[in-house]
Amino acid sequence: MERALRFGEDLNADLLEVRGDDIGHVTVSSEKMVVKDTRVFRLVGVGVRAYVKGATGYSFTTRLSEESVKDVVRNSVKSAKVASGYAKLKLEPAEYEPVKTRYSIDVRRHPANVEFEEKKDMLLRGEEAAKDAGVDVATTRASYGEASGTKYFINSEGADIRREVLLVSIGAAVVSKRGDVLVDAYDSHGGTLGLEAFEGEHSPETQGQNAGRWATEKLTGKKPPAGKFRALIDSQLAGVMAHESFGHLSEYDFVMTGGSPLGGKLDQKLGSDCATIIDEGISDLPKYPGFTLPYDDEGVKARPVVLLDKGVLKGYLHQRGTAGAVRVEPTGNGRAVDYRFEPICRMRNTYFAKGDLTVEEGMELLDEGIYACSTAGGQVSLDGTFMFKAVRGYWVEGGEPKYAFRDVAIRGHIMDLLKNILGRCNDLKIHSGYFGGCGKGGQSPLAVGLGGPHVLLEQATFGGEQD
Amino acid sequence: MPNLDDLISLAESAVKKAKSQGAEESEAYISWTKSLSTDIQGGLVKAREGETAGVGIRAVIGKKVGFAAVSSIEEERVYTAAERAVQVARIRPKDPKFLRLPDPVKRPSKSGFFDERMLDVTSSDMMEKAQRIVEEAGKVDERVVYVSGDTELIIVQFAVANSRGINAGDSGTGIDGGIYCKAMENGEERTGLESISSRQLIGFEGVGDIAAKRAIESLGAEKLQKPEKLPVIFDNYTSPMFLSLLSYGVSAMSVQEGRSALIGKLGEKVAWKNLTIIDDSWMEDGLSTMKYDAEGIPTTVKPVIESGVLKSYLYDSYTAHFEQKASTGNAVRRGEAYLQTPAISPVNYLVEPGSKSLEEMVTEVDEGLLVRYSLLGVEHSNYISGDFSVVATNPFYIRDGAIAHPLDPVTIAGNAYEALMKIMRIGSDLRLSTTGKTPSVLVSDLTCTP
Repeated sequence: MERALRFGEDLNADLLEVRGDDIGHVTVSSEKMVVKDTRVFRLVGVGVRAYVKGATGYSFTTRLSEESVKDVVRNSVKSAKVASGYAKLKLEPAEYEPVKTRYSIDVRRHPANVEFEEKKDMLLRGEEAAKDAGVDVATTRASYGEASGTKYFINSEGADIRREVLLVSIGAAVVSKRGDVLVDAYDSHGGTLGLEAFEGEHSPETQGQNAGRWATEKLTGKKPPAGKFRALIDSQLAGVMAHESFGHLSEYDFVMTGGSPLGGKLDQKLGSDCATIIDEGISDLPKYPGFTLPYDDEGVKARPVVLLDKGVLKGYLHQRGTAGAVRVEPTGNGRAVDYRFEPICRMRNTYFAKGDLTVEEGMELLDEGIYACSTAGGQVSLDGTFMFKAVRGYWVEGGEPKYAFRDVAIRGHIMDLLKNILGRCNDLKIHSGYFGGCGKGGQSPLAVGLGGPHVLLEQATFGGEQD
Repeated sequence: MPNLDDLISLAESAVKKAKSQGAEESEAYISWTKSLSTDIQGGLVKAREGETAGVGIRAVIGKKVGFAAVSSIEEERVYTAAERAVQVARIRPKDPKFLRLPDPVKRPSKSGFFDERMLDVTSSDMMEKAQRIVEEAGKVDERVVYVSGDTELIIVQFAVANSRGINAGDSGTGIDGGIYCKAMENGEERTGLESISSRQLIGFEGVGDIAAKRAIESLGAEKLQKPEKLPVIFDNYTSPMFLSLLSYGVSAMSVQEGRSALIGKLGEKVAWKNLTIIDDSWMEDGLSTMKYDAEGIPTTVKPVIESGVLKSYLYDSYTAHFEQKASTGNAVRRGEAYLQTPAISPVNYLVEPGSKSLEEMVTEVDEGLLVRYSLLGVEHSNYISGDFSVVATNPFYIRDGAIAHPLDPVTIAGNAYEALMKIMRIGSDLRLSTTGKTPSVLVSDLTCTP
């Protein structure tokens, strides 16, 4: 990589960045207590980005000979030169102090050092519990995924970062069937964690029991309602809401190009006093497991950014090129899925700050409405419309859950849903993991963390069904 | 671009390597991808090119299947992956359902179109195409405040060999151009998009223009009054949602494991009587067409639903052998293909078109919705039950057989399997996408929430 960089210095790029990935993966799945796909693979590749007059060129390869890496450098500069002829807005890498550092991840039981036998057993333990807890079970499934290795970063300004990455997930799922009614439920846990984290409330047994119980509730559950309701959403849904609403639309590439409705709204009040959203690189492990990111893929320290402070828009998420273009400090949000892609403005761990209500008080304040839980993710459109999917829910009366619902989308608009936040509970959790992730600009899945406490909404639009 | 015969021989030598390490059966799958892409996001410009290649190896020891992959096609690293696959097979437990890897099958099959011209396309050519798309969009109307266009060209090649004598492979080309626009007026913001994909080199004329007009035509939206059940026309951009949900149900894996809504429905009526869906794996312009599937089985053309009746589930070799059947040639490896073990998917859906245009379909609706161009939340649907709850970003209100006005976003909920039975009309306007070729459809009684 260093030789490639020196070679590139004669090609007249304004800045050259060379990234290398060496990441090992292990995935195992099981169904009906039989271990199915068992995969191990190693991804090694190099990618080079060149900046020329405010435009960028990127090239990558899996061939690691000096000659092919030099080709990649040559192609990145060539592409950047082509692109620069069309650039009307310019990316200008912000000034920063190039960092030389090594970052290692310290967990007690690193998954890469744990025998296959134990990982497999965790799946079967989860399935066993799921089978026992479920009713009319059609199938049970469990999955394990881990990625660990090293990411390398150097650039023509002298940065040299070598950081370990780690991401692990375990989950259990149940499908139940009664007559023609087919329902499913899923519970999982993950993040930058050692296997010691999969104990107690995050053990495979607890996951299996939850999945079995939730699928059973959905068997007799009703179709979700359609229309506007008062709602309490759990920390997973709060996380997806934070991510899809203010998260994506505060990514500064959308802002500086006119794509985001949040452009020009800094310091404006856009949410209620309870709406405080933060995006940060390192979560406070192990208290709030999430995804650990000390430096982004441009060598910038991943500092915390308060996006929304008591409802007031306070920050945007920058890659170096957008930060430099508007002369602000880079935030460390320049991220790429892997060596095949250039870093762009992306989130890290995005969450609602915690409040002071207990969850019981949250339920009491909800009084009558919907308690919505667990998610299959969400999506946002640049007009500010976003949706997030609750995969289970309960109709609540007098602060007590009465009956369960099946999957339903909650829809909102960035300019009004966050004005409806009435309260936040004190149970902050951050969710992350090996499976799933965030997609943008053809780059998917990118590991992110999502979270928050339980959040009370005065009104939310549920897209259910009428009988 | 590597020589296909060289890739096949490399796959064969990886198979032998696994065998020499103790595998009773083995399979090597190699994929090579070259991509060239450009992106013009509101004046920010990026160009990207590169190639990836790798091998994924399945090694079998007594019903224990190990898989290992590496991002390289250098001989030494391929052999290391073969050794690793054997090690994985040794440590994992048995899968009693696994019978054997597939035997070679001799039957006719077809490749998709391969456009030799794509080999010579440069990043400046792609940049010009992207520039044309965004320029067109920018000229349409001053209310268009954001334009983001991109183009991508992909050349793929794969080879697969196994210890039972399969040695096969194929190549393909693809290009796509897309654009996303936003229009704004009096604080109201609306989006419009267009994207076109082809196996042949095309120029994308008109793509920018149409996307910008779509954003403009959605301005001046009104609110739907209340949640209600209405007939909904899904245009040929949004209708593929039903097919993607159906794919999960017709997979033999979902059926065998008990998580398909179509268990026991073979030969039964599962859709409107005029609905016929074929998995046309030989479609010459189909975006996923390859002569062989991801296990080296020749692909096939077969009806999935014929006149409303479920005709076939889709099989890879694992699920087919379990039922003493032959694979239907529907093993796929998605994304970075060499990293994946085979999964089951249709190759290209072809929905038999009806006789009416979208405009004519609108005239048949007294009161209802037309949802166009994009839906949020399709991939977050429940693929097992078929329940969906999606947000239409560009809905229109139909009154007395004519489009009355655009609407604010509407959530539309229902169940895909019920919706197949509630289809009332199928359009004549087939559109090519990664799903295959699908027309607009009219579905009755879906809950629409403002």
